[in-house]
Amino acid sequence: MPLSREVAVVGTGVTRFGVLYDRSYLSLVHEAVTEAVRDAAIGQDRIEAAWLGTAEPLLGALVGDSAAAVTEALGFAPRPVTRVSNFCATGMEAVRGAALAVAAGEYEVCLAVGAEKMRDVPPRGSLVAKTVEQSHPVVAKGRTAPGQFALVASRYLHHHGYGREVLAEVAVKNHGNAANNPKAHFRKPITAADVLGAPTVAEPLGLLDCTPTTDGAAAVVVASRRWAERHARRYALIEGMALAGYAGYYQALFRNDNDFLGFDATRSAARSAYQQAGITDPRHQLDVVECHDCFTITEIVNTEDLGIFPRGRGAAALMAGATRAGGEIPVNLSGGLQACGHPVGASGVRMVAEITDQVTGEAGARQVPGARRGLAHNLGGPGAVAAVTILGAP
Amino acid sequence: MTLSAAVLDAAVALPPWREGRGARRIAVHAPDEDSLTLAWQAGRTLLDRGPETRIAALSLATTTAPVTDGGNASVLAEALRLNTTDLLVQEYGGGLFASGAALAGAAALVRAGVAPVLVVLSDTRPAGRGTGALRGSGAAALLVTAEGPVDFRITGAEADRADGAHALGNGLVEADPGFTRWLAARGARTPDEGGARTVGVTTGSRGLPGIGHLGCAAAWAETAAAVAGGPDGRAVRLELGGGGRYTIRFDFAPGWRPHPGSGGPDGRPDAPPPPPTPDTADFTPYTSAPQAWRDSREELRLIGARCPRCEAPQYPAAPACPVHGLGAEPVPHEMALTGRVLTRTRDHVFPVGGPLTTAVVELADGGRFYGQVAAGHDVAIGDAVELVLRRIATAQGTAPRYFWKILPTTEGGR
Repeated sequence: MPLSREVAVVGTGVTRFGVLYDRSYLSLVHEAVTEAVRDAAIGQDRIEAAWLGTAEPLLGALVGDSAAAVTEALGFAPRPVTRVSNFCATGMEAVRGAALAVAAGEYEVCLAVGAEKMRDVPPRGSLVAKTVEQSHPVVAKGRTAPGQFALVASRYLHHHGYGREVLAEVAVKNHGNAANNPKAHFRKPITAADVLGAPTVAEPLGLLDCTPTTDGAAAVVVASRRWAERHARRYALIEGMALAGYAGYYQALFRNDNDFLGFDATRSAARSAYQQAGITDPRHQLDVVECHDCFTITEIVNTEDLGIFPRGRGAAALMAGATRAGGEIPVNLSGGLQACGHPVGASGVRMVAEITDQVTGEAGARQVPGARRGLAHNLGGPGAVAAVTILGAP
Repeated sequence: MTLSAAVLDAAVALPPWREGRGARRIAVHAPDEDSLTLAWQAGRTLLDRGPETRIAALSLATTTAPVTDGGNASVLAEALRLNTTDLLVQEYGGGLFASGAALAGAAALVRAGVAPVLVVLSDTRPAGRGTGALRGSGAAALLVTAEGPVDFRITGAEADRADGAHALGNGLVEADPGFTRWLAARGARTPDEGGARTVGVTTGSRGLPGIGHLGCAAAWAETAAAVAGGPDGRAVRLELGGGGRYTIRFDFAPGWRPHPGSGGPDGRPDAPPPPPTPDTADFTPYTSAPQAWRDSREELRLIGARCPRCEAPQYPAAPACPVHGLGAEPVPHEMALTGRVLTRTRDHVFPVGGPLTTAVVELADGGRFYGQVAAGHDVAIGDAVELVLRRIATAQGTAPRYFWKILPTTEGGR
């Protein structure tokens, strides 16, 4: 059975994101799931199977290497548990796994949880170590995450004739939005001068162009539409859900069709998700967007890759305020990865939770009045994979 | 012993960096260069200048071999994209005389019908070590054949006394002296036939002004400088010392002038060298001997894949075409080594040798390259660049790895 409009998100739970030295990986999983289950107004026993998204178990002494971590955190045995990993799109991949299982008719109620404990080691020992030390000894040497996205930033600014201030505007907007998100890593508004004056990380990206290194977990309960109609306190229907691949981690930056002005995987995933959802004019058919702003440039090109703005016009639309709170199509009202942080496995789940809350009218201070349909987008690797989920009010 | 052959062509490669003042000014190499990358630069310059030639043998002479157990010349052969089928590869080391031994060996090979022989002489001798003998870094490459504009004869060779067998003077032998040595039996030195300028290259000799003593490469660099230096420079008598003695007479055809040595590709031969790579003791990159063994040929030759249905090749080679999938069978393709910069960043996070500039290059054959810009250089979007062999940082104690880095091209080329 096709997934579109047959699977619903019926409960969401998100822990505080931040530097959570006092919290263990398992306790974060426990908290996010407990909140999601309570939100869904079900007992934990009702969940038939779980998908776990964790990208880097090596950061946490291999906790999360298998979804048996869910078994332990929830006392979930002997129910089936599956861990997925798909670069930074790991979180949405967990939601997708659960949703596909429900769509297949195997289960009625499933759990998707994403968690990442990134601060149990110093930031330089986490993803920096992954790209610098654990990656290919020759082909990848010199790579870091910001260094890879900076290549897009340089090309985008050069090709379209923008300055760094467009990048800064993403950070200013999203940090400002996070003031309304009690769970965000950073909640203090910043100025363009702060962003432009921050230490350089990878030209043209400075420290405040980059997502911080963050701990956190998020969970959603997904269920069949039929179950949701009968039992859910509130729910959002998954109208479209697509994952697209572009290239392997090393290959992506060598592909001769990579224009470094955006990400082909996002374009492909969006095309497929829009088709499922019957969306032909995303700018006017979507009310709210959470997209993968791991770096400021990423949000700008995402809004183009998602078809919201024409190629090269994402920065202009941003500067004109189209994506601000109260703007034509608000983007990353949660604060995005810029201010929430990016516990890798958790981010995609958090985005789905955020859009679910928006289209069910439960987004609190961040609520877009009357929002009926929203999009969550999760990007992985240097554009290696991308996932798009479109959620709508029933 | 008399061995003779000819030099068809030759080239000198110097790093663009200089250190010291006045008489103590020398050419120095960047942290990501070594005697092998300089050897590559000299060899590539030479091979690019002439018609495509199938090299029968490759000889590398250096006292500063990156891997003292050998295997350096094999790396060089791959990186120079030589046809390695039936290629004879030799390494000479242990002392300055190694360049004479390599030339003697090449002459013998040519006489035996193995030709042409690519002889590469290379050393990296940074200042500040030892007791102050002039040192410099550079390489020379010679194409040795039976006939050519420069005839040479080994007119004498002998082994030094054992206590004189120092590679670089001052007891500093940087390479394991267990290298291949070819020392003729002790014999009378042949008398000077006259009519030739004498060039002495030995431990403690003065070297070239502003460049310094290039170690093994001095044998050719100083000979070429002597013949370029005056109208009477038609013959040079080269007296090589340093652990063994060779006397080699070069006779130059009238009008023949050596190719001027390359002073660095971006036209700034006066720049100080980039800072040395900081201590990398805590840098422990993924290291795998099987992986290195399996992939090094593709890496050193920069072999990608070309799908018969695609216009452009791809690197790294993947088992399937990224566009046509399993329906097409990509074939190996040596990627172009020139192109233009598509995008670029300077990364302050990479903890080894940073800040590090990386760039994406649109290669001349439509493929792409992504990697580091060579140490001390920078590029901007749109710049013409070439790919050059450089060292990649590895964990302490592991074998060096070589890969391609990006270098801006300026008029006049390499």
